Amino acid sequence: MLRRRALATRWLGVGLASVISVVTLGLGFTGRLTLYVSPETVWFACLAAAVTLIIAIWSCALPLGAEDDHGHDHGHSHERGADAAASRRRTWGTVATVTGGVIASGVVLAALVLPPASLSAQLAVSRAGETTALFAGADDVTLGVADTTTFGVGEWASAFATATRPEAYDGAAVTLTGFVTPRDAGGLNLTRMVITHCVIDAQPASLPLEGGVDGSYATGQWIEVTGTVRADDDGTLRIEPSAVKKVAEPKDPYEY
Amino acid sequence: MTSAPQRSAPRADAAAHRHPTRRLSASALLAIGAGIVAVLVLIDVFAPALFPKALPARAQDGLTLALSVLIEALPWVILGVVLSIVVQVWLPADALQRWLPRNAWARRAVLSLLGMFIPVCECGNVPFARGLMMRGLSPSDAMTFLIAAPIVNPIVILTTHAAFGWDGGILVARLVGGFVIANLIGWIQSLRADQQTMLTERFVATCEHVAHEPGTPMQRSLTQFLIELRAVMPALVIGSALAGAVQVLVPRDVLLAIGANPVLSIIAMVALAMTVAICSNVDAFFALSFASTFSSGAIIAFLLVGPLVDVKMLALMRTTFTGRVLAGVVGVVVLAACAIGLGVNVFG
Repeated sequence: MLRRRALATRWLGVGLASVISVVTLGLGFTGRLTLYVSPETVWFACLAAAVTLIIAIWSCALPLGAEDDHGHDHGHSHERGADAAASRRRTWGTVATVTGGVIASGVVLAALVLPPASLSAQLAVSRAGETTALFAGADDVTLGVADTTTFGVGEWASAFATATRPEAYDGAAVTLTGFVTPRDAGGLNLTRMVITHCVIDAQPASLPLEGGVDGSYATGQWIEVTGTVRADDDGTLRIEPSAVKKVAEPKDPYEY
Repeated sequence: MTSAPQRSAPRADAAAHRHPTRRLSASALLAIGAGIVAVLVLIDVFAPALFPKALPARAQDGLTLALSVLIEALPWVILGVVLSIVVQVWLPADALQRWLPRNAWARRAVLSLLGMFIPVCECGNVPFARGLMMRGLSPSDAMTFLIAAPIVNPIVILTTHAAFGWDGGILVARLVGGFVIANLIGWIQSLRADQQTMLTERFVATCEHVAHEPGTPMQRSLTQFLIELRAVMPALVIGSALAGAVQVLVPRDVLLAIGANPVLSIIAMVALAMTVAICSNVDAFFALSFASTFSSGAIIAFLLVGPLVDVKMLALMRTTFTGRVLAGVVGVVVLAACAIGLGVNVFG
């Protein structure tokens, strides 16, 4: 019993941390850590994971149960008939510890045995109302004088939303990769998830595709679109594709 | 894990009773540790091939989101644990008391600026604050640090400035607001006659345990590493899982539909802040994308509430403080953030 408890203590502490570290390093070595965090923090996550594993192995030198808080149980609240309440609280405490331990173990083990995945197109669709703001008041983008050759879906979506002189972008040639999502007004959007720091802050960026695409693309299908930016008379921007081809999901499905 | 009468026996005896014949040498134990890690690596390499597309899209999204928070937060937690060990084991016992001002208000003011010099993100602050308390800092003082540090820190100032500049006083309101809220909470909690009642029984027990711990500083550091990870890891995983689950289960468009109403928008952004659990280092960029639809007051409320009392932080703080104390903290933070947000909306 004591031994089992000591093992559980190790597992819920250093054990969980080790599993996450192994997962982190595994993803890092195969170049897939950017599925979860931005490229700038990859080295930090890997370094910390390596340090964690080294200390974790080292900590095995401590005998099992060395960290357990022995000898503290010298009767708080045992006086004045508080026994029943205390034992009830203790039972609840045990239940909470066990439940929490099982949930935490489940999440961490799922991370270990399941393959990594990018966010689904459904999630992007459910967040369609949010706009990405990549350029905080960058005047060159708003005014339409930015260099657009390096723009991805996120940058274009931001430019489409904020441009005060949309005609400045009219005629720009683009080649963009993203996945297909339906548009409310009918037709298709080219969408990509944009991330600032890690996947939890992912926001979808969408560009309207107009003309030249038939409806044979399922939501979530990755496509590469070659085309031209067109400004309508009312100032809305859209992409007029000249060629659309299906592609596999890129190794790096997010834009940063 | 509080009961079991036989555990009141001194540790050395208990260990000897348990497995007298199975004392393994240190190198054998290290080999076992390395072996366990090797097995984990093998599982990580080969098991995923067995489960392609095991989960429905929504559950997979939840797992992906939870895991991204975990991977991102773990380095900070480890850094926080290391700093906590430094304070707890390597710093002279009376160092803290000597450096800090004696006057309570001045001491809390200094502690709330400590975040400017401690390079730890909000998740790492929890183990660090635990270390401070084990070294004799009072719980209300530690709470002041814990509430101030996620906002009053150089990285947050830089990223908030990068996102908003000086527009609408958002940066100033965030910094001053964070400082004021932290000192307000520290003061309210310091009114308790018995400071120990703020803490969970479990943490009090841990404090007693480490105070009488034998062994070399190196051994105590390792023990401390195990203790802190045991305290923080389950909370971190559950907090991350909650954050992931909330993101896929709670429809965000309902919150965002509220938009520009000066009062409701603040409440909506507070609700969003508590549930998305974005690290305070980068939440300014996230908030920026809502700047066009939401009032400045709502953005400020988001930037104040998010780093302090989101689901992940609450799970982490619950390892140390009682639920009642945390409910009070959430109440003060939310009310103060709403008041500051309303003030900005009305007068700004």
